[in-house]
Amino acid sequence: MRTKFSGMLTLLLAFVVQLTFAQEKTISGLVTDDTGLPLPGVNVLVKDTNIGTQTDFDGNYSIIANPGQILVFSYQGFKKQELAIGQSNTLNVSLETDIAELEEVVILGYYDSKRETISSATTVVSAEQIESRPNGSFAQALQATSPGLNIATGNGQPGGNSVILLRGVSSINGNVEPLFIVDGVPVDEDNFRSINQADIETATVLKDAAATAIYGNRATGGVIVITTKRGKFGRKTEMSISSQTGYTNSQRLTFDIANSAQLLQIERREDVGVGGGNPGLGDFINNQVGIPLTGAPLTDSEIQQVAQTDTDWVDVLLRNGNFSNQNLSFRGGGENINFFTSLGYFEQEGQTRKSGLQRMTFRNNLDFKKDRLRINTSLTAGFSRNTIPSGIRQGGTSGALDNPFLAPYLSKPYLSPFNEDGSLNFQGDTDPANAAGFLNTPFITLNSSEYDTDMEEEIKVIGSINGTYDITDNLSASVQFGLDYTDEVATFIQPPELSIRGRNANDVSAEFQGFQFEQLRKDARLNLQSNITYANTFGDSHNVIFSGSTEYIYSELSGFSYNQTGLIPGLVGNGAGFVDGNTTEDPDGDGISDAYFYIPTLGSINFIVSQLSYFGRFAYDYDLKYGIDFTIRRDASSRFSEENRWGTFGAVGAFWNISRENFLLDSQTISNLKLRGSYGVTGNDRIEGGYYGGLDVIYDLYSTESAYTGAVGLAPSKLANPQAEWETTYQANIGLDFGLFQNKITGSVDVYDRTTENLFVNVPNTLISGDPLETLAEDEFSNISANSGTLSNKGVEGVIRWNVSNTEDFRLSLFANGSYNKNEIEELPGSVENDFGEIILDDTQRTPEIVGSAFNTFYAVRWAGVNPNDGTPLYLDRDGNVTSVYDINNRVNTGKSSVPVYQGGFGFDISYKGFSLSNQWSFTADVYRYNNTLGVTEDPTLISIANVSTSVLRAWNSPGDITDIPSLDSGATRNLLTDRYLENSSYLRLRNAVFAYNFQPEVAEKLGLNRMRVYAQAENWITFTSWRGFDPEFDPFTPSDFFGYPNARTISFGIDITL
Amino acid sequence: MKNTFRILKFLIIGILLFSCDDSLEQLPQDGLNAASAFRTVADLQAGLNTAYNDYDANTVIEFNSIFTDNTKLGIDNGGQQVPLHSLFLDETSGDSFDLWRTRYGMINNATRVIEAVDLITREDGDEDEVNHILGQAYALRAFAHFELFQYYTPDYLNPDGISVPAIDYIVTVEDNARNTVSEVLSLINEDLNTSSQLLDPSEAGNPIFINQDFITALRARISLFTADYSSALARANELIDDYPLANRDQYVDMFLDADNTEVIWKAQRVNGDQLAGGIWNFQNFGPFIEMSNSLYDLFDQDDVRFGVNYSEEFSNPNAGVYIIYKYPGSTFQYLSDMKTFRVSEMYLIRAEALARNQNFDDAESTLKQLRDARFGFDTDRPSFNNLNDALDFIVTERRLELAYEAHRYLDLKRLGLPLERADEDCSELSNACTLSPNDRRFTLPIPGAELNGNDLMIQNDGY
Repeated sequence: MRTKFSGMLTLLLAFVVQLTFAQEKTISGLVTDDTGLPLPGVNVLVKDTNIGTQTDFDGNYSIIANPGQILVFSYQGFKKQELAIGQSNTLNVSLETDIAELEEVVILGYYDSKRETISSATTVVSAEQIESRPNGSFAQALQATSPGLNIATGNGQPGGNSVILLRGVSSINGNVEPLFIVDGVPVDEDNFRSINQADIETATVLKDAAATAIYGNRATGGVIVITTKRGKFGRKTEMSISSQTGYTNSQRLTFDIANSAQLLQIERREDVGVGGGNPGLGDFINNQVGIPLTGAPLTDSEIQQVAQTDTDWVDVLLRNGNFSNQNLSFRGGGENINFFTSLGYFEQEGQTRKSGLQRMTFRNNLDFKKDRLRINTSLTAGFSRNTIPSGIRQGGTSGALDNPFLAPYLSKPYLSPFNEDGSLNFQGDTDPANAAGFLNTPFITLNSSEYDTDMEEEIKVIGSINGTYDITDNLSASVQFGLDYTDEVATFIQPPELSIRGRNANDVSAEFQGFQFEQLRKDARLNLQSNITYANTFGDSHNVIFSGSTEYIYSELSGFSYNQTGLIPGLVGNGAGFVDGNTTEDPDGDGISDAYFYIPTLGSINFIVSQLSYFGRFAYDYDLKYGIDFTIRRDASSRFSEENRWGTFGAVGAFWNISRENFLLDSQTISNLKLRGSYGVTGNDRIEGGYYGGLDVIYDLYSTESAYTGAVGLAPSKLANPQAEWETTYQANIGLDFGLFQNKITGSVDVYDRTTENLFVNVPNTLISGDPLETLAEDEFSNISANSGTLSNKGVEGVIRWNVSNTEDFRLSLFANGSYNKNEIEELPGSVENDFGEIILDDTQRTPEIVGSAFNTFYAVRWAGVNPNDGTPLYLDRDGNVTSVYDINNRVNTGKSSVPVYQGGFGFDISYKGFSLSNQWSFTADVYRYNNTLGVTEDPTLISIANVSTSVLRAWNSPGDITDIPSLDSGATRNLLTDRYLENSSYLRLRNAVFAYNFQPEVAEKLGLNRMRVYAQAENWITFTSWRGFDPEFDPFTPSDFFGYPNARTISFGIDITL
Repeated sequence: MKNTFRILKFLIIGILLFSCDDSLEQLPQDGLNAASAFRTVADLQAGLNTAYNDYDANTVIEFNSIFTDNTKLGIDNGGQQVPLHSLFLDETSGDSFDLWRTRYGMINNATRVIEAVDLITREDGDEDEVNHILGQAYALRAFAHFELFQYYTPDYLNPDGISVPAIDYIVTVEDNARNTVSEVLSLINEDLNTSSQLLDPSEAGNPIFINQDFITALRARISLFTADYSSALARANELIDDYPLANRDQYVDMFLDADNTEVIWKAQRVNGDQLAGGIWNFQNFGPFIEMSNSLYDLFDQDDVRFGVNYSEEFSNPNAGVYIIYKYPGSTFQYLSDMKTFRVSEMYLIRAEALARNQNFDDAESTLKQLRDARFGFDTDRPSFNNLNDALDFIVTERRLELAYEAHRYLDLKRLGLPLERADEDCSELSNACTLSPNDRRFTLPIPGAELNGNDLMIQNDGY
């Protein structure tokens, strides 16, 4: 029947064609995208006929048609365009990108889904928001882009790790960060410094259980799916060059530290240090101050004289660092194959001497298709070198005197940073008794940054290969192999002689000093997946998808390290310079050479963890109007005993596209409206946090000890918890997606309730388990980590975008997103109620977990100011009465946590002709941190050795003084468990602003280019906060600030060229 | 294309079949697990050394002295042990916590040795050595159970009464309920029988290690506590036949660790171990706890035991300062072996068993034998008209002979006697002069930490 019909149709058409033959002519032209780039493969059709053609590789077409007929140009990802044929034989067309259509397919990792059929809460972050950001770690660029996603960077070292929290903290001791999937491969969520953000196409944030359940065992913290750029079939090869340069500097310190005159007066008042005329400070200090210190306090004129040297150590120790980012990429494709290849070079100097990140990356993504077979490969290799001043170490915070973010606060301003010849003084006090002392702080810092080495070099390879075969039109099978490989070499050297640290590294009587540490680590995470999918549509509108998969993950970390003390000067950094371990010396001069000073210590590690999973998914929708999907997943983890190894997780989700109902089809107001809901459960086998953590939880471990009669004993050193099992998170989510006024205003709102059960926390254990070693803490085995405890995160999040104007010349859109998350520790069954009816896990901490309160809630004695009569500190007791006695039993729940309750971002994009300005602000609110940095600068017991905050000038001095700073004789209070230094660390920050000019296509063309864009960009440039210090942004798991490395401000200029 | 499909198909099937759990068994590499810790007989011995090391005699010596009428607060007291001496006892009390955890520690580590025997590689000829190690482990487990039994059982003689958990497996996180008196005694008995069969008879003679005589002495003690007097008598006789009483010089030397004439078993203490002298004294015999006036008054100055328990050198009797000197130390101050089983205790057990059997004549002569040895001359023979006379005498003699050796509290508890302190010994403390026999404090409270960590645990009445 069908054949007959088409036969008749052909006849009919032939007749029509004959009839119109006389008028027809050949129309030709060029089809380009909105940036002027030729589009090959565009379908060109004469409307209401079956006459059609496609554009060639150069975007040219020619077709025979009649004047008055209409040509329809269609191409995936672009809006369909219809143009009437006039007199001209040439018809050039520029197709407009169809944003709605581009968004249509959402990459959900194991499977992709049309936007319309997604029942889950997901946010897509596009390449523009990530690719040219001047961050060593692309994760930082995701901050404030997606509601509910909180990215806090507490370490300003270029490439430093960020803490990434999706919808709050979901575990107390276990892993809380999302799973990162790059091109199908799960990767280390803590290390992105060797990944080039310019390669990233999209980042999709999966938040609710319907989306994450398919990742089962690792998805409790949510999932972030990264796809990198790929070529397109049938596209001309194009080359893109982007070049960016700029500089980085520090945030401004938001409180004042004393200048020389102020400090000297305080010292005089306390009768310490130079101001107190202390004669015992050594020759170096005496020379620096230039007047004799006799023991008598300095006179006013002497203070004036000494204060002529007034060094701002911030200026000396911190710097403007250079920044450069260069990328070159090629993409293109033929009929069966396409590719994307890129090379990148990134270099960022940190805010302080020696701090920096250098990175070279290479990527090649290849897609091949032939008949029913598709093969996709993704491969990136990155080499990075991360250097940091040895005083602060890679962790980004340290109390060492050579921490360059400690020294600006605590260095005495009356010391000069320069030698007499004007060069920087890298030694300060060379007297061995004082060289490592507090007063030498700024010089030790300069010295370490000049002579010592703390470096991590890394080779990272992430690759995957995926083969898919369409067995029939509806049934396909695929396999994928993925690898995340990291090879890291850490080197730490304190050379002998010039380095202050190095020349004191060994026993004082040893002949050779100097220290070298190296650590080699290999971390290989292999991933093998297979999948069978069946998809079909029945009766036009019943869409069904079934899929079943297996996944196997095997990860191994192995490493080796050594410490060598004793280096031969002149041969530093090389094994040839190690003093032989067998070398003996005779320091006591008894004629017997029997002292070993150079025996190196060695270390070696090996950790293996593996997981095996089966999972399936079923999705059904009716005409894209209603849909439901189910996911189920069975996971096994090598962390658990055989009985508890397998966990079953899953989710159910449903959607209703209300705007597809008849009553809304013609609505002028509501163009899109979708209601979504889901409920599901995910698991967490990383119950002790780290990727390789908690591998010995189910095993008893033994160690040797000195036992009965002094003989060797063998005793358990760690107790097994064979009952350890998965932490499980149950999550319910309801969301609404909307588009109003032809999608001029779009957005979504989600509410959720996540409850994590079986939290792996410390609980009291039966003493019958035995006490291992009498010499150890008495309660060694009376506590054990077990699955006991519940916490919840409940919240609301929303995102909205308003395209105010979208004409060719003038575009303006406003956007905002925000979230509210209420975290609560609901149960800690193992912990015992205290005398005040509170159930607290480990109340020795400043931020213990308290039932009924948020994670990391500060538990503190309330500070009540200063007693005007005697200048001593006052506190509130539990009942709120003022007392002069500090008693830890007066601690109360402050209700303040180190994890923000509110966070989000907003901004606008505006463009006029080629000019555009876009900006993005981010904020956090209701978040608190203990300011121990300020506490140190206000600690009166440190005045003799450190500089102080100017607030110390208003310390209580005589009865009747009303002040907030206690008498300088009242001792240190910063380490007490009070709320004196508990500060609101909320902030509003201009995260990113870009001012750009896009050259008009014809101008670019004249230069022989397809596109050209120049821009200036500012990152973290403006911050509003009441926090006192450098930077309010911090890692919520480090609730006490102690001279951490602040985030950088960066200004950069760039140019992007495509040819 | 067909080939490609075939390859894919094989790959998929291969992966699906790759479901064996082998790769999910990953032993941690960062410490010794049981299988790698116990590989040789020497490892087994090392495990046993740890179980021995868990035996903490100080806690029971401290409790039996400070919680009873044998001590008073010392002249240098700055608050040390005041609550314990004030007879304050609840679930937070340190001695109960220490006793519980160390005895269960012994049980746990002994059980680890017992179970590890299957892990080690054994060679021909090892048999005796392995058995001897196991025998000691079983004996230590029985001994620890019995000590727990002594302190936490409200009524020794009610077979269905509540006692302590009887543990014969390696407990890590498992909750265990309290067993009955008969269940605990039956495990102890079983362990001692097993031990007795395994111990190597040729290893006797060194009193710092467990041998058959340790088993016999422990059985004598158990029999006394469970009122099986004929058994107590038989065991005591067995040991009395083998061990002479120390003469006066030997007795003094024994507490300087220079003589073992009457020592059946003692826990050796070496540098780094607990120091018993520190239970009552700061360095150089500055006392925070002293010998009570009532015990001081009870001693005859001619009794060698007076000079062993009391320091002439450091005391000041005119000021009422009586220094406890039982553990002066050998190689250095306060470092003393813990003489847990001495044959003199067997004399006292024999005397009590005889008296219980109405054989007062032999009881009298047994006690005279002991006293003659201690006084060095022919002492007056005691004379008993009835059991109460005999028990009165015996409990006093036990107080003198076994002072500061962890017996006083248990004697009062076992015999249902009240604690009655002399006024001078308790005048500084409120209401801490007497304890009636039915006071809850004659049974120790289960430590709070155990109640928190063990859902099946129940507290003793009254706490």
